[in-house]
Amino acid sequence: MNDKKFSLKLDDISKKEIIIRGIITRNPVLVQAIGLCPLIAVVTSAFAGLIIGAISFLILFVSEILACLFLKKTTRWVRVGIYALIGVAMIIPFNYLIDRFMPNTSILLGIYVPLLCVNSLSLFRCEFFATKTTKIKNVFVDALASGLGYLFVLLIVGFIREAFGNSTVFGIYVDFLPRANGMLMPFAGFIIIGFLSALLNWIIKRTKLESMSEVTLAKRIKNDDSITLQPDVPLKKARRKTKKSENKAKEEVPQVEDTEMILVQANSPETKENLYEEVQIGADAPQEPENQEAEAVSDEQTEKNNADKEGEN
Amino acid sequence: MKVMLQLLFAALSSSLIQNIIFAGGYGVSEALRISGKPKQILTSTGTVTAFMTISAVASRALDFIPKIDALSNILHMLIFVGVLFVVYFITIIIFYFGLHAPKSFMHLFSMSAFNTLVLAIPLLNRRAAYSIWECFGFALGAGVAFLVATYLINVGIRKIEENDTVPEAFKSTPVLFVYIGLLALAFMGFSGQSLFV
Repeated sequence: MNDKKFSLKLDDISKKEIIIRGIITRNPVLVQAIGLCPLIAVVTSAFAGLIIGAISFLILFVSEILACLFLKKTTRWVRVGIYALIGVAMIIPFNYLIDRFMPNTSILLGIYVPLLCVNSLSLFRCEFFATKTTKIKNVFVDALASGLGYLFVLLIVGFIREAFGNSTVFGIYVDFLPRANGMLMPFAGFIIIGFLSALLNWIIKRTKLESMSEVTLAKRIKNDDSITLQPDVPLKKARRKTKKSENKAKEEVPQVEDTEMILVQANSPETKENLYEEVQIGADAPQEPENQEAEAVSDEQTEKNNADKEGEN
Repeated sequence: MKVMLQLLFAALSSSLIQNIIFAGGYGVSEALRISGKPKQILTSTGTVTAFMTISAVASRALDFIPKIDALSNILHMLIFVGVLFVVYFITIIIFYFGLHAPKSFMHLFSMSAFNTLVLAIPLLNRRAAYSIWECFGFALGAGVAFLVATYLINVGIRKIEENDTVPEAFKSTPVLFVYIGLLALAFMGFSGQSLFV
């Protein structure tokens, strides 16, 4: 199979598919496990989730668009540094505004706001989508979808941790909610996103969205050559496997020149042209010589049987 | 002796007592990414530790200049990012132009230099007002914590793959998150915090 059929034509993916992948089937946190640092440590309330999610969303949006417009031809190890610079340039005004107008939130979020400038979310989306596509509209949609997918998870996790850790919802005390300090600690963050990820898996498998999941697409690509996809890990594996199977198939099929040499060494009386024909037939039906031998053996046996019968008579 | 004790205590603090990956969540995405590639664990941990240690010590050394120490937190963060960039580009110049290292090595450097763990160490050092030796020990300890985290996650991935009793919905990423959560809970035991009021 031609390698071009697996080329990275991200432009062919529809906008609807990009949105569904960004928010659900390839959710940055629940499926791809990126951007976990602030989520685990500092998103212990819905408001903190909203702030962190909004800043991450804006950084991702600007980084992806700039990466698509200007950084495609830059070397990867320079690009990664530039993403960090874009992040720093975006973070400084936000940090200043939070310090100035929300001092309590600034204390709560601590050093995690400055750390958003090197968040793996923007780095991965820029590296594996924005610099691989030519359509700026697709980048726009991807940034929107991935950012919203990230924001939703932050909000849900923050809401759960705040409700069961502090007995509050957006800062308002709710007396019937239980209070467990453990929900505010990092291990609870991991366990909550584990359960949310399982819930998402369950939903994907019970809806039509499964057809857009990576594994199913990797299966489809083997049957349908027209499908071209994002360079995620399962696809790379599928491509490697097909390459390996191609190589194996090449090794298994007898090469014309090699078989020709073998036949020549066997002192075959046929001419070179006949040899080519025989080799080609032999490649298509390799069991023929064995069948001929078997037929010859059976003929000999019938002759012997006939001779024995004649002797007996 | 006092210096050695300071260094040792800071290293133990960041690696075990408050494992910086599991307790702080710093660099956990990077640890997850690397743990899936067992052959890269040692090289990646080595480069992350080197970037972390050099940039943390250099940043802390700059803090001893009174004019820099008096700057606001935002400007300090800018200085730390600047130091990280300088360290990164010096490394690039040495390895790419001097030693003609392959491109895969340069990609490894880029991913190791720009992550939350490497940038968090200078910020945490400043908050804790560590001495230079404590900074050094803290960064080394964070490197050990990163190695421990990637190794434990890698072991977990292998064991989870062998386990057929994992429910269908929890297979792959969800069960890994729960496993890391339990590891974080285990490491929290060193800090002596209480769970319920």
